[in-house]
Amino acid sequence: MSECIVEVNNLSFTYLHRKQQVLKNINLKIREGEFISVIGPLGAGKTTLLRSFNGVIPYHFPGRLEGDVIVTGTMNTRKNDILTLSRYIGMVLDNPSTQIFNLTVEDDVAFGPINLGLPFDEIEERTKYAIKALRLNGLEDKHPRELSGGQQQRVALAGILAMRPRLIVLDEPISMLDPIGKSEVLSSIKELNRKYNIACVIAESGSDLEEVIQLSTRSIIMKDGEIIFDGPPSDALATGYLEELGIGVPQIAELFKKISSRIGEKLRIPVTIQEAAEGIRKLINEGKIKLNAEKIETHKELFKEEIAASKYIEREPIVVAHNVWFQYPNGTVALKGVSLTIHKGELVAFIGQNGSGKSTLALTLSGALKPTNNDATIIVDGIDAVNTDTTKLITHINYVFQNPDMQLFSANVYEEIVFALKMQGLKPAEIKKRAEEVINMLGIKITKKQIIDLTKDMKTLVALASVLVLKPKVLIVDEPTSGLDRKSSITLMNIFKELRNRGYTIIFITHDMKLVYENADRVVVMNDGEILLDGTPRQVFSQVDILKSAYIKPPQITQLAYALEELEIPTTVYKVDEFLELFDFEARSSSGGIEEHKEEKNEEESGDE
Amino acid sequence: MPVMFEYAPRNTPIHRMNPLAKTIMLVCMFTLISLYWDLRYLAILALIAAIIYIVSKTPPKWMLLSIPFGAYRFIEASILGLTQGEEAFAVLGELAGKVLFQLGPYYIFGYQIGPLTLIYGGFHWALAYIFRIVIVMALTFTFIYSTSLNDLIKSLTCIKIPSQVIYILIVALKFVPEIWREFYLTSLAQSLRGWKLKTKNPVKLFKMAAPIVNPFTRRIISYVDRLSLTVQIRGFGATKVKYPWKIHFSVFDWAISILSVVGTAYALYLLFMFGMGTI
Repeated sequence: MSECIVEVNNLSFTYLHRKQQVLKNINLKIREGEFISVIGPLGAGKTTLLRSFNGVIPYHFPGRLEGDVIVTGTMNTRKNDILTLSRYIGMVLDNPSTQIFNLTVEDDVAFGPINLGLPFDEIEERTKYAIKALRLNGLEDKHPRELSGGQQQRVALAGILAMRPRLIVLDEPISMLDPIGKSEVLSSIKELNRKYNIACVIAESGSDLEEVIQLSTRSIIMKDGEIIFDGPPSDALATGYLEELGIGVPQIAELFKKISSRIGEKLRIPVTIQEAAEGIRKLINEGKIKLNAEKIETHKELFKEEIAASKYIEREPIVVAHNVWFQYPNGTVALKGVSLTIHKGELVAFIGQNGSGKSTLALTLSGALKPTNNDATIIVDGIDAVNTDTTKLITHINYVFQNPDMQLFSANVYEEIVFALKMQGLKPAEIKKRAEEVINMLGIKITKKQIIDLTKDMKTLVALASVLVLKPKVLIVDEPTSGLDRKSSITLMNIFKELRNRGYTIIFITHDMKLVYENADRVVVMNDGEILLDGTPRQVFSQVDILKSAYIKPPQITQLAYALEELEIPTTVYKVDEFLELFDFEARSSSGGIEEHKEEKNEEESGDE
Repeated sequence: MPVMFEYAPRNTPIHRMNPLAKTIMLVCMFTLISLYWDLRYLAILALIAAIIYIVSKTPPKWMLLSIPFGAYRFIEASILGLTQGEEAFAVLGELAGKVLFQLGPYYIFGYQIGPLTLIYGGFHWALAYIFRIVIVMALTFTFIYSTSLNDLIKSLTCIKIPSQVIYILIVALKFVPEIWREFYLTSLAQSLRGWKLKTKNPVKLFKMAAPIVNPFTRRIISYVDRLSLTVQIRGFGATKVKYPWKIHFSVFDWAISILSVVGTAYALYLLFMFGMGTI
C-alpha cells in the first residue's frame, strides 16, 4: 500500500470568536498518488479541512482545534508551523492573481525554493523542472499581468511544484477561470498527479463538478462539517447526497440514473463522456435500450421549428447597439464593430473567454464606457446611451459588478439597499416603498444584519437588490454565480427568471455553461471582441466545432451525442430528458424499477402542470 | 503600446545597461544638477540628458508633463528671484544687480508698496530652475522607460538590501496597479448607483467618500490577508534567503559608471575649489 501523507484523526475545529464547529470529528487518510475531490456546498467545511493539512489552521486562522493532523507520519500540525509544513504540502487558492507577486514568471516559480534556502544550482534546476511540468516554457520573463487567468493559475501551481511537495491542496482552483483556463489548469493538475505521483486534494462546491470528478480517484462529500461519504467518484454520484445538498450531478450521471430507473437495473454511473458513450453502446448492444428513428425525426422537426420561431419572433427591442468599437487607453481593442439587439423580457447570457469583450460590451451598453468610434449608436429604452450621462441612464439600464464587495459599504442590509434611492433624492415614503418591494421580491429577510456578517450568496443578493431598487428596465449582472455553490447559483437564476417574468430584461455574464443552457433564453458567444454566435441555447450549443474554436464546452448531453456520432443522434439535444426521449426502453425486469419509473413519470407530469 | 510612465522592453543601449550602472549615472547627474546654477553648465547637462533620452527612445510626449511643472516653478522662482539681493550672487557680481523689470513703488494711504525689482541674477536663477526640472524629468523618465523593475530589484539584492525590504518593494510594485484598478471599478460601481462627489466641504466630502473608502479598505485588508497567507504557504521566512542572482556589469556599464563617478568628482572639485558652475 502506498505511503500515507496526511492522517486526520478525530479533527474538530471552531474558528476564534465563533460558536459553531466548522469541522466535526473528521477522520481521513490521504495516500501518495491519490486524487481526491472534496465536494460540498458553501459552509460545508471543505476549505477549513484543506487548511488544516498544512497548518494554516490553526496558525493563520486561529481557533479551537481538537484531534490531530499528522503529516508524513511524523509531523503533528500542532507542533509544526506553516513554514515547516510548506516543504511537504503545497496549497493553491482560488484567485490566481493574488498568489503571484513576483514580477516575472521565473522569479515567482523560484520564490519557494529561494525561501527554502536551497543551493543556487538546485533552485535553478527546480525552477526549470516546474516551468516545464506546467508547460510555461517561453513565458519565463513575462510579467504576471500579461498572462491569462489559466496561465496565472499554472504559474501558482509551478511555484508550489518547485517546492517539491508530497501533496497539493487546491481550494476551488478553477472557480474564477474561463473555460480555457479551467481546461488548462485541470490538465496540468492531472499531469502532476499521474506523471509525478503527487497526491492532490481539490475542493469543489458544484459549479465545476463534472470537470473535477473526471480526474478524481476518490471523492469525499461534506455536509455541515462532517464527511458523509468517502469512496469512488462513481459511487459518490450514485448516492443521491449531491442532489440532496443542492449540488446536483453532471448530466451524464443524471442520464444513467434515469436509464437505470427505466430499465430497472443498477448501472455504473459514468464520470467521463467516453465512459457514458461506451455505456450507451453497451446498453444498445444488449438490447436494453433502442434508438427510435421516428422520435429522432420528430426532434429534428422541433428544432427546425425553434429556429424558425426565434428568427421571426417579433418582440420589442429595448437595447439596440450598432457598430460599437472600444479601445482601452493601452491600445487593446476590446470591441470590434459589435452590433446587437436585445428584446424586452429576454434572459440573455454573454459567454466567452476572459478578454473576449463580454464585460466591455456590457459596460458599454450600460453607458459606463463610451464607444471609441464616432459612428457607434446604442439606444437603450429609446435613449441615446452614447451621448447621455451615465447617471441619467441608471434607471433605464444598470450593471451589477462581479464582486459584491466592490459596492457594499453601508452598516446594514437595509441601508445598502436604499442608498441608490437616497442618491436619487426620493422622498422617504417612496424610498421605503421601493425598498420593501425589492426586499420582498428577492426574499431578503435579514435587513438589519451587518454587511460584514453576510455570506457570499447573501452579499450577491444584496448587491443585486441595491441596484434593482432603481428599477432599471435592463439589468446586466457580471458573473453573478462566481464563488457561489450550485444551490445558491440555482436560487439566483430562479430570481432572474422571476424578474424576467415581471418584465425586466436580464443580461448575465458567466463561465458556467450549465447555468446557461438550463436558464438562458438566448446566448451570445463573444470571441476576440466580436460576436461569434447568437441564438437560443439549442442553436448555439449544437455548433460544437465553432464552440471548440472558442474553447467553450457544450453541455455533456450534446457532447455525448457528438461522441455517439455513428448512432446519428442529433447534436441539437442538450437536455437529459430530450436525450432519453430518443430511445425506447426494454420491459423492466424488477417491480422496483417500474415503481421508480412511475414516480419519475408522475414527477414529470406534475412538473408539466 | 507602452502605457504612460511604464517600462517598455526595447533594445537600446540604455535599456541594455545594468540598472545599477544607470543608477550610478543618474545619481552623479542629479548631484551636479543640484549644485550647478550656471546656465552654461546646466545646458551641457541638459544636452547629455537629451542624448540619453533620445537614445533610449523614451516617448517624447512624456516630456509634455514638464511644461506645467516648469511653468509653476518658473513663477515661483521668479517671485523668489525678486527678493534676491545682488550680494547673493558670488560670480555674477555687479551684473547680478542689473534691473530687468521694476514695478512701483506705489503709495497707498501713505504706505509705500514696492518697488518690486527683477534683477538679472534673479532671472538667471529662475531659468536655472527650469533647466533643473527639465533635466531631472528627462532622466527620470528615461530610467522608468528603460529599466525593468525586476532587474532593478535583483540589482538591489546584490548590494545586500534585506529580503524583507525587497519583498515590500516587489509587493508594492505588483499591487499598486491592481489597487488602482480596484479603486476605479469601485468608483464605477458606485456611480452606477447614482453616487457622485457633489461638495467641496471637506467634512461632507469625507462622509460622501464612504461608498468608495469602505469597500476599497475592505478589499485592501483582504488583499493583505491573502498575501500574508500566500507568502507563508511558500515558505517565506523559513530560512535566511540567499538570492541566486549575480551582478553582471558589461564593459559599457563599467565605462559609464567610472566616467560618471570620475567626471562628477572632477566637476565637484572645480565647483568647490574654483566656483565653476555657481552664479
